[in-house]
Amino acid sequence: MRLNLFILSGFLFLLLNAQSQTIIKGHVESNKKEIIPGVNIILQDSYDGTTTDLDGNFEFTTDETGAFILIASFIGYVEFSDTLDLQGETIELNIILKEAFNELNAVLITAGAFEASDEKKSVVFSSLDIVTTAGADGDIYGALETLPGVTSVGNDDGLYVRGGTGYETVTIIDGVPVQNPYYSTLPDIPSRGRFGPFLFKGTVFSTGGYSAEYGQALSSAVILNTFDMPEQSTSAISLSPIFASAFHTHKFKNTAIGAGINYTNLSFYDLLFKPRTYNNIESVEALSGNIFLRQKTSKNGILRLYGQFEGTDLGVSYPDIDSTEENIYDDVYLINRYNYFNLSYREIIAKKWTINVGGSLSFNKDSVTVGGTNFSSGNDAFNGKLSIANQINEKIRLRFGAETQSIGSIQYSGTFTYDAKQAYTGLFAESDIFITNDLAGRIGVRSEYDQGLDKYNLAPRISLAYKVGESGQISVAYGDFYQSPQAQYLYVGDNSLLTYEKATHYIANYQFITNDRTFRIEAYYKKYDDLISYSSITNQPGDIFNLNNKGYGYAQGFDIFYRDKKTIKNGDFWVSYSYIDSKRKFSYYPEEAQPDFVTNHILSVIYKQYFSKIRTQFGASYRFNAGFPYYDPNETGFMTQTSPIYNDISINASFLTQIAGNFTVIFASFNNVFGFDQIYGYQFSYQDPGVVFTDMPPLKQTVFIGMFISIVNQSKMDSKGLNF
Amino acid sequence: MKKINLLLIICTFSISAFSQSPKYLDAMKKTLAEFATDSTAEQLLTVSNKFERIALAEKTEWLPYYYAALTRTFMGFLSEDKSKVDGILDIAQKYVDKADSINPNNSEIVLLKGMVLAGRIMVDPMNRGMQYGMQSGAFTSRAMELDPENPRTYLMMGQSLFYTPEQYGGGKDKGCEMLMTAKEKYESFKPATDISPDWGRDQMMQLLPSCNSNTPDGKE
Repeated sequence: MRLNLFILSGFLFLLLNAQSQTIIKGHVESNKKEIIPGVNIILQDSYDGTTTDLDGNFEFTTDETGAFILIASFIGYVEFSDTLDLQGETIELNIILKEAFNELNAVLITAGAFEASDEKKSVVFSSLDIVTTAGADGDIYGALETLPGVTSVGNDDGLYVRGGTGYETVTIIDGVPVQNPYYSTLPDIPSRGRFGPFLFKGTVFSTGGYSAEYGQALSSAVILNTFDMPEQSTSAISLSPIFASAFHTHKFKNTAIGAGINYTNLSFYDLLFKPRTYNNIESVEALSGNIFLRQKTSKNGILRLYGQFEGTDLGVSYPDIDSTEENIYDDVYLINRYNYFNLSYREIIAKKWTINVGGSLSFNKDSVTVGGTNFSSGNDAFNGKLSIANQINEKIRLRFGAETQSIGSIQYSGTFTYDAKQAYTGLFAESDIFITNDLAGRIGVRSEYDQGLDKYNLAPRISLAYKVGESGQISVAYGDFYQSPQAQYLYVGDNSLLTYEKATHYIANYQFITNDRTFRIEAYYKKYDDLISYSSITNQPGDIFNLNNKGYGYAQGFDIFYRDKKTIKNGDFWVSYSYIDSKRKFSYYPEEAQPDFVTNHILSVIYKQYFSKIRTQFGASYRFNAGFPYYDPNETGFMTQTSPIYNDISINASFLTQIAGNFTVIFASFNNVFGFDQIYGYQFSYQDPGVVFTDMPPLKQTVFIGMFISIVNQSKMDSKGLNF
Repeated sequence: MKKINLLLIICTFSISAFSQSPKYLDAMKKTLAEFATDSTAEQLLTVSNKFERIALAEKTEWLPYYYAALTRTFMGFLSEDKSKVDGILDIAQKYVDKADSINPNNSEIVLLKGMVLAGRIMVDPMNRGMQYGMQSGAFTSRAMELDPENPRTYLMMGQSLFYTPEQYGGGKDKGCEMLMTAKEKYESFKPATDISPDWGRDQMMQLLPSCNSNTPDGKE
């Protein structure tokens, strides 16, 4: 039987070959009526077929007869197939190919967000930018300040985004919010982020309208994601006159462990440069260590543990402008201890379900003494989060989860001790829906319950994005954002009489992104309600009475961003401009006013140029702002004065070389090259309004040099030939 | 209807029974000849489409999949629009994986896997260089282990070293040394069959002259 079939088939084969020829011809176009050249026209199970020409036409001849399937296939389109009966008569076909859904080419939900990633195809801002941006000094927040919408508010820490204050920005690491993400510091001494840029594989910086996954932030979210498994074991050493650090990662098959140590001592620096606004009495000395663990639990599962332990000591002597005597200085000492742990686990279950669970613990203690009196403060925080994502089909993704946070804070103020407990639970659900390749929406809702306030909130969030042309898109976003009152208010107020502060965002955005150029313009309106407000005799923060939620305000404006990596060979530049119009009645403000952290115009230009001959990258940055309002008790009205315009030009250079066969970068930076007077504002003595303190950077200009050595097993590198 | 189905089954059966048939070899040789002479992106697509059609008819042969993937990889290298490269290489990836499942641990196929990754680096060298460069290099090393006589593995490694800066472990000297080894390996190389991989001499000849030039680049 088997033999018979074989013979029969062979016979048939010959028979088929003997049959007459069939001509198959036609035309291919897309569902958008575009001609598609290069389409593979395939007569299945034969070699016959052809490729469409420049006009989308095709024609070929086949000797096959009978029923055959004809396929038309091209990148980015759904494959077309049709059964043909080949009988020697010419067949004409008009084929219409439907655009395939492809997430990479599909519209992105981007209103409000800047994404920096090492993996995604088109990024506005990459992790490497953070370390090579002049003026940013390797600080994540410093680099983010070069993006539009962010105000660089001199000596205060925190990101001030679109008329929001520093505390309105939340930092999230691996899905979990972080308390105290900035180094503890004393007044007028600039701070920076605690977490180094090399810990993270990607950053999403949202200036508004962000996902329902994130709450407890009125203005902005900095979302940082740490690396999964390292590629290989590495060691790194950093050295500078004020800083030394070493780090080692060891990679096993499914496990990686690492540990690092950093030591900072500014004694040498303080010998060379004398601050203008205070005297150093104890130079900054800091010691920190970190550990990490990565464990692959399955093909897609990974467990991540990160721990950071820090101790910082410093002492400064400030002129006391509120003293009735002249030339009185207050000696202030700060001892900070900070420990942070983050544990997270990610697994893909049943193919379409991803589960993420994580938690963090942080302990922060600032022991502060002012002239021998105790003004210490501290907080212990726990954050836990569970999120589950389900890819329902290629066009719909659902995400939902729960979050919990509890913070215990304490503050000593001379003889008084205040404490506050904050705890909240949040639930969120959100869906990304691609209606077509060109139109996508994200609809989400978040609800929180704060135990201290004993109140619920409900925050809807909606984003829509529509693709115009191949590289352009328009996005809009709307959302409600809530934040519980800060601990400092809970120390003195009755929680249950207070409620959430609220912001409502409206955002419209147009962006045009190609591989080497990015342009975006975004307009926004942000409305503030229920802001914490209180009375103050001195029109200064501090003496709180009549605490309430009757504050309000708005911020509106637009941001423009243009980045170009193409026009200048080996060069890269970006320009950010922000216009902000904002007024608020909140905090100690007696009336609605433009806040002292809002400047109407901000411009920043960053330029980098790589010279391959000398293997050096040079960078320069220029920043401008139109000056900040300040309150002068000698003048009538509140916040009616404006500080001088601010200019800064900073430069840096990185030289790539080898030391004992190890990849080395030597870098140098020089901030405020031209020595501009950079005045943020003025403070007036409460006792005598004639006594003025100028708020400005403690050092007019700063210089920094250092080197970074990466030690990788050299023999391995050779055989692999790194393609960098 | 039933009759048609039966006919289809028989036809399919007959084709697979006749694989490695003169028809297959003939189609492959013709397409390879076109591949050898065509150089524009458009011509390359036509050739790639032909290999794709043969591959889809000869599902148990690795070579048509291999060449369909190879031609797409070259298209990726040639593409001037970087935003299209990933789409082209996705197809190359699909076919090289098919070839690999038919013929695992083949030096040529493993090498091609590394080339696909090298192509992806071009889309965004700053951000992809580190990770993909290492993975791509690992495939090249593996291909060399699988067949130390495969000259293309030396060509690819030499090319990669040639364009990698010295401080990342590359450099012109190391690259040229490797290319000289490739040249020797090419001299003694004989493809297993008429249609087995036998490409790369042109690429090598293009690079070698710059090794002999008197303007050492990248030297201290």
